[in-house]
Formats: sequence, C-alpha cells, structure tokens
Amino acid sequence: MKTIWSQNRSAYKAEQKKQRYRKVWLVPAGFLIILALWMSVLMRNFTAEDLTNGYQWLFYQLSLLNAIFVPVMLAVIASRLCDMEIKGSTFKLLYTLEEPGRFYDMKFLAEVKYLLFFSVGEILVILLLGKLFGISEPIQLLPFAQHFLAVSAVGAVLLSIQHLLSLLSDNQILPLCAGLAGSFLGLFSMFFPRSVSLFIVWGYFSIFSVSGISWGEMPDGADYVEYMHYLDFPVPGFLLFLAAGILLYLMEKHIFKRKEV
Amino acid sequence: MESIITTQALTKQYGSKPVVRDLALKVPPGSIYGFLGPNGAGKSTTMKMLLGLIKPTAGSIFILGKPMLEENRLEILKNTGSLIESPSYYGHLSARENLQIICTLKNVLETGIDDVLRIVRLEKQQDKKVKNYSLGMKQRLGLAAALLGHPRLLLLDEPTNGLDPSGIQEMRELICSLPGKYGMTVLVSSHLLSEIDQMATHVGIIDRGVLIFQNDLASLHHHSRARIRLRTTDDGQAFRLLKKARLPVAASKDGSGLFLHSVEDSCVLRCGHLLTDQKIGILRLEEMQMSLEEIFLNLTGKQASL
Repeated sequence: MKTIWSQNRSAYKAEQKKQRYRKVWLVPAGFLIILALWMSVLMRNFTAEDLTNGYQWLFYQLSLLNAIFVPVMLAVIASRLCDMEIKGSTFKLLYTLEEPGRFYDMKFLAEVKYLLFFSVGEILVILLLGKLFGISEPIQLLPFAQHFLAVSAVGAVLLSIQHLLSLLSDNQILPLCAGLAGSFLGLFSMFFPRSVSLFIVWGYFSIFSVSGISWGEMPDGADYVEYMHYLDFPVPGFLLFLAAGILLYLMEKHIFKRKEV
Repeated sequence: MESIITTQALTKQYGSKPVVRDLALKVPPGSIYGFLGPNGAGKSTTMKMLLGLIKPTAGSIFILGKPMLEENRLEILKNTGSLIESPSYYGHLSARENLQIICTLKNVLETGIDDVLRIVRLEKQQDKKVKNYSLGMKQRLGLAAALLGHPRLLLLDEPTNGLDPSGIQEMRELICSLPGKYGMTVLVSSHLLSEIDQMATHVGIIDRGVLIFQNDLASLHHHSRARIRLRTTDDGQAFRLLKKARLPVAASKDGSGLFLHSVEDSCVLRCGHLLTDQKIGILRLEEMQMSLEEIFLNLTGKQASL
C-alpha cells in the first residue's frame, strides 16, 4: 500500500512539474470572469423583489450557462495538459517509468484540480454578486453545497471524455470540436423529452440544477422570478449518475491502456 | 551473467503478418551490441518489446537475468535507459526541467542531472526551452534522460538519426565510452552499417523479422571471404588461361581486373607461374577482404545503407 501511495505521489508530482509555464489556471479563471460579467449585466436592472430570490435565480441561470461554457472550458483544459505529451512524443519514455494506467489517472487528477478551482470559484462568484447587488435572500448552505457537487460531478464526467479524446488524438482540433458539440448538445437537450435528455450527459447541468421554475403554475405574462424555487436534490439519481460516471471512466481508461505505443 | 538480454522465440505478429519471428537475442554484458537491419526489418518493434511497450505475440524476454513480466516490468526497467525512435521531451520546459521530471518518476536524486548534462555536453544550453533546440540537441537530451540514474543497460534506437556528420561522430564517441567509463551495456540499433562497424563489439543482423547473424564483430569480419584481386597486361587472355587451369577465377563486374577466390599460397603461386609462362605481365596482385557492406548485402540481398 505504501509503495502504491508513494508511486502515485511521484507520478502526481511529475504532472505538477509538467504544468510549469502553461498557465492553465487562466482558463477556468477566464470563464469565471465571463460568467460573473454576464450575470452582472443581467442583474443590473434587478428590482428589490427580484433580489429576494437572487440566489435561486443565480443558480438557475448558472446551470444553463454551465451547459454552454463548461464543456468548452473542460475541452481546453484537457487539451492544454495532454497535447504536451502528444507533441513531445513522450509515451514511449513515460511507459518505461510508470504504468500507463497510473499516468492516465494522475493526468486526470491534474485536470480535475482546475475543474474544482472552477466549481469553488463559481460559488465565490455567486456570493460576490450577492454582496455587490445586495441580494436579500438568506444564504442557505445546502443549495450552495449541492450546486458545487453537481457542477463538479457533471464536470468530472465530461472531463473524463475530453481526457480520453485529447490523449488519443494527434491533433487537438478533434477534442476541441467535441467539446463545442457537447455545449450545443447540452443546451438543446433541455428542449428534448426527459426520457431522451437523461441519456445526454452534457445536459446534466440543468438536470441537477438546485433551483427551477414552476412553469405549469405560471400564468401568461407573469414574471418568472416569482415562480422560482429550490428543487429537491435527486439524491438517488445523482448517485446513479456518479456510478455511471465511474464506470465510464474505467471503460475509457481501458481503451487508453489498450493503445500500443 | 551470460547475457544481459536474452530472448527465446520472440515473435510479434500484426494480424497474419509476422513482423518479428522467433528471435533469439543474446546481448553479452559490457558489450556494445549493434542491432543492424534495413528499414522495416523489425528493429524498433524488437526494442519496444524488450521495453514492454508492445506485447509480444509469443516468446519470452529475460533482462538482467529476470523474466520480463507485467508485474516486474518497471522494477527491471529501473536499471535501464532508453531512447526509442525520436527523442521524447516537453518543449515548453528547459532541458533541466525535463530531466527533473524524469528524476521524479525514476525516484533518483536531481544531483545526477549535472553529470548527465556534462556527459552529453548540454550544460551551456540547459536553461533554454527544448522546443528551440536543434534535432541533434534533442537527441542528446534524450540520451541524457536515458543516462539518469546510471542504468546498467541502455537501449538506443537509431540514436544518430537526423544528425549531421559531426553530431554522428559525437554520439558515436559518447556511446563507445559508456561501457568502459560507466560499466553500461548498450544495445544500439541502426541501418547505418558504417556506424555499427565503428562502434559495436557484437552484431546482430535482422532482416524481415528474422535474426540472420549474431556474433561478435570480429567474427563477422572473419566470415568475409578474402580473395585476390589481379590486374594484368591482358585480362581477357589471363582469364581464359586460369579458367582452363581450373583455378577459381572470376572477372570483375566493372572490368577493372580479375578475382581469384582463394588466398591459399599454392593457388596464388600456380596463378603467377601460369601467367608468367605465357608472358602475361602482372600489374596488380592484392588481397581483399569483403567489406561489411558486401557481407550485409550477401546476407540480406539489400543495400546496406537505406
């Protein structure tokens, strides 16, 4: 056990060293700035009444925007960290120093670090916007925690797909296009029937959104913000999603390990 | 240890196409083993199998006296260094930073970096980004990475590829110094016969996946058939005369003289007497060994340098 732990530690340390000068943190930071500015523009004409549901509104909007932006962001992060291996033709050296499976895992963990940076950052953006615009809704820890979990979990599954694509592709255009296509698919999946959208992983940002709108109860012409409310977090569905995500990761890792150098 | 690398019936097949067939390599410790063969002969495939980068279809591999299995592959490879095909590097990092990553993965001290940079003569360029290096410098960095941790065995696949003549000479001198200075065994593959001739102590020649020769370099030279090259004042008459006397004579293809395919004293003496008796003047009489290129051509049926 100790040997496996120290091997993992060495492999992760090596991944950290590879990231020097890449400034990958700029990618999630840039997207967070874009989201913050986007929300700020939308919130600038908020009334006092709107501010009473401010956090619910932010969670709802961010779930939609995450479906558009996060797949692209993750594609860029994975590409930035994986293309150095492709360009430098490093697999034939690395596999004499570490197991391909360990390399795959540690590289993925290095990418997840930036996803978590984004997830935490998004929570801070929500709190910052709340402070700046004077949202009067009381802060409830549970929706914040659920939003963080949802963004991280869905992001991790999407990242695992991008991770495999970036490591298998000689040209990073393919994974980047896949990320872009995922964005569109995620956005449009919100208009598909539920039975279909459940099979589109890019649409899970909205499926696990912590707040929603009771469209059925809303009369025509009414302000939708009044009908916004926190949703019950679908714990069994979330756990099933996590299990499927883990299975998907293991399948992806198996595909990667089968590739000969 | 009799051999530092031993393979038994090592085979690699892609579909129905065998790329390496029943290879029985024996690399003696402390040697520079030149693994020769034309392009596509199976050299790189063999070296990748030795490192466990690709799985053999059949056969076994023993390195440093231990069987190469999935469970102990990395443990064995801790004592090896390799440079396969093109050099591996992170272009956005300097040479030193690249080597620091290798040290982390190999679990060796970073103090060894100065040594290997000095050996490959990259000390002055160590802080430059590798993407700005020439191919020769990248090759030397690849060799430096292979030397980290002072491995007992070095596997180099075409290390002089893409180098200019001075780079080739530098690399050759470096490789030749490794067994003596550091006690390493070197397996170096190449399609450049002249390079192997100047570097190797042992040679294995592979052609179309089959090992057709394996022994020390001296044996390879020894197996070359010596012959006598003869030029006379009348080569045509001399040829007819010697042929009639049933001496093993042949005309050279470029018309520059005759070849006597025997260096026995009695044969050469009889040849001389016959020619002088018929008043045919002997202009040149010299003993010639087959060059390594001619040996290679005989063995493989291909040009030696491709």
